[in-house]
Amino acid sequence: MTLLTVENLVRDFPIGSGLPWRRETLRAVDGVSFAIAPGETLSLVGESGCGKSTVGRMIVGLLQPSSGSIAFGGRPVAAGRARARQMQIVFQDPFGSLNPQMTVGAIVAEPAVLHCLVTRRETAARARTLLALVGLPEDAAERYPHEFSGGQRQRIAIARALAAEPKLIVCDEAVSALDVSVQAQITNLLRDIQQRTGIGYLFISHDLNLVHHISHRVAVMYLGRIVEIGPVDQVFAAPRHPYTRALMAAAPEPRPVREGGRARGRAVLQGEVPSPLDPPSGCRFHTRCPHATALCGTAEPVLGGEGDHAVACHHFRTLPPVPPQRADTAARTESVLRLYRRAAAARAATVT
Amino acid sequence: MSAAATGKILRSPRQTAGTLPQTERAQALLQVRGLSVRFQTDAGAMQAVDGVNLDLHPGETLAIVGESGSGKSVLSLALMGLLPSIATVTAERMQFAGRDLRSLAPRDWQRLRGREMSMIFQEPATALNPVRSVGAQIVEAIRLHEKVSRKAAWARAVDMLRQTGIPAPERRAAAYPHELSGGMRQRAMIAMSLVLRPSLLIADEPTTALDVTVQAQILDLLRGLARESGTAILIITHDLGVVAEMADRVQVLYAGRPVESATAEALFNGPEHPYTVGLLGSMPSKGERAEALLPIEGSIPDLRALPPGCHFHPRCPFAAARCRVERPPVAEVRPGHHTACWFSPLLETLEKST
Repeated sequence: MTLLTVENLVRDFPIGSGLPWRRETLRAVDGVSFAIAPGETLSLVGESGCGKSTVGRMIVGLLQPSSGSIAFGGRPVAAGRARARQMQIVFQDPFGSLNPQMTVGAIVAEPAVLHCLVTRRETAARARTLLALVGLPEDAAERYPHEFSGGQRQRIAIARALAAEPKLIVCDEAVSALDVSVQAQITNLLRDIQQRTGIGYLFISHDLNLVHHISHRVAVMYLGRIVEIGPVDQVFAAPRHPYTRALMAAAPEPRPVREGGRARGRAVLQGEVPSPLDPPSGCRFHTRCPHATALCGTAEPVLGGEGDHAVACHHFRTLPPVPPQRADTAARTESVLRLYRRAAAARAATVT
Repeated sequence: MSAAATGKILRSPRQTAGTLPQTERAQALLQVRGLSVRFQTDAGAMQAVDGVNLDLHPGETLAIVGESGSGKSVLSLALMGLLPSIATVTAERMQFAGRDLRSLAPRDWQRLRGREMSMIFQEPATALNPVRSVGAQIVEAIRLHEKVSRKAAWARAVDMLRQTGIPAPERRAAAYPHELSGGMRQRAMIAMSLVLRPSLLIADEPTTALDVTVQAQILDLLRGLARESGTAILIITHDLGVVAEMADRVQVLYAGRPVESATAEALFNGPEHPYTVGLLGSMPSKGERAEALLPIEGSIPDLRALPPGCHFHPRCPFAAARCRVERPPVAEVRPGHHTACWFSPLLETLEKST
């Protein structure tokens, strides 16, 4: 059973001066298909400009697809209110996405009021329940967004997204702007909510370590196309597309073992993403791919493969195997982390 | 530093300067002892930086680690003399290339900045002038400090852009910032800051706004250029992955105070301060799929209402009664490894108590 199915999603943006003979189109998303099951987290990863946010916005209805279909629970999604009840979105910037003139209680309860889920008398109680769900104090309802830190604001945005009791939340870089310690708090909160309510997430992010940690499945996008999609463990243990491999090699290791000198530099992917106004012929990645052959410059590979792990690459069967990614943290650091974890758990237990 | 800088000693932190060997003291490019920055705001006084000691040698990379609100950017602005007049900077010692920064006249600051110390920022889009081509901006930086013709300066600008790996630098020098991608803009910023071969480069979150692939390219570039020219780098970041790749030494700040300072190797192989441990634990590691991440509970305190004792105690899972009232001094746990924690040495103390 699937919650959300998108098929062949395409989105064009007109670019240029407005003069008809100088108009160009930028194809930001070019034939994207995937499905999300209830209680599942699918992550969309890729560099900026790959179209991942555009996909998220089309799903919640903030942008209309140029072509393709979006189905929710097996039926094409309706526009407007009905869609908003099923799907919500949390944005990256908790400073720009909350109305500064509304109290936090009003912000959080607004979707519930709009969808007639509560009577006026119940509004305040609903706001308090939602704020408690995301771990904010009860008196937060009477205060204004500017009185809160970035992490707390992101909690408010999540509470608001939950108000309409949606079945899917699109998290568009929802934790990227937060400090690392707070990032972990919000990530854990999202996971707890999923375990309690069975909500599905489309998690849009560029942080591969985080994506590996929180998702069930992952889709890698490059220049508007999905180049690899599959269960997170399979994709991370044995990435098939050269681009996925390059992204993983480029991700920094936050807890390396260092023996003299500096940590090993990362394998650097050369060049930048080509302009989507004029995407390369054949495989779009061939201009930066270390394994590219003449075939890649002419024929576009199709997304396919065994089971639920699909890849769009001509040569994925013959690529050299990837060395295991697991980092071994220093023994002393491990021990301290273990004690820290234990103390933190003990403290959390005494507080609640 | 503003005219408000007094050089007056606010408090006297542990004197570590005296313990350094004479030769090392003479060689340090930048040496700072007991640096404090205080802001006078409408909402009251605020201690943004409190008793920071720094030593940076030529060709070395020092990372300042901390989250937003930890005072790391204020520290770098203080070192560049760029703080507004509502800030009061005090230090026992603030020595850069043989000069005392505490008593520098504004004119001398201007000669120093750009030429001997320069800075790159997190968001090159806001640091670059949008109405002038990047080449013209680099030329301006050169001609401000050196008497060279416009043509010669342009040639140097193009050459520097080439060194930062910008393709077709002759063409790109004439481009305006908005015509370049984020990574290219950051390269242009780096070209501008290194064109005069400064002895110190302060990089404030240089790769935070960039994609991981571009981030790796920029870090490579910074490392390479610094190695070639012997430029010392002070890199300010909250990303421990960046620290691991770039830094020789690390200084961790929390709410304006130094909490741990060590070589990068010692820090990653045996962190001493619970805040550092928390930072290490809150990021998922490569290839790791733990049940839950280990966040640091709560958030960084308001600098106008700091908790008493150890500033970190409200968030520290180990906090004891003493931590709530008494401020732990910075002490040396192992040679070259300093920390400000009552539990130091952390692992031994914790294992003893359990």
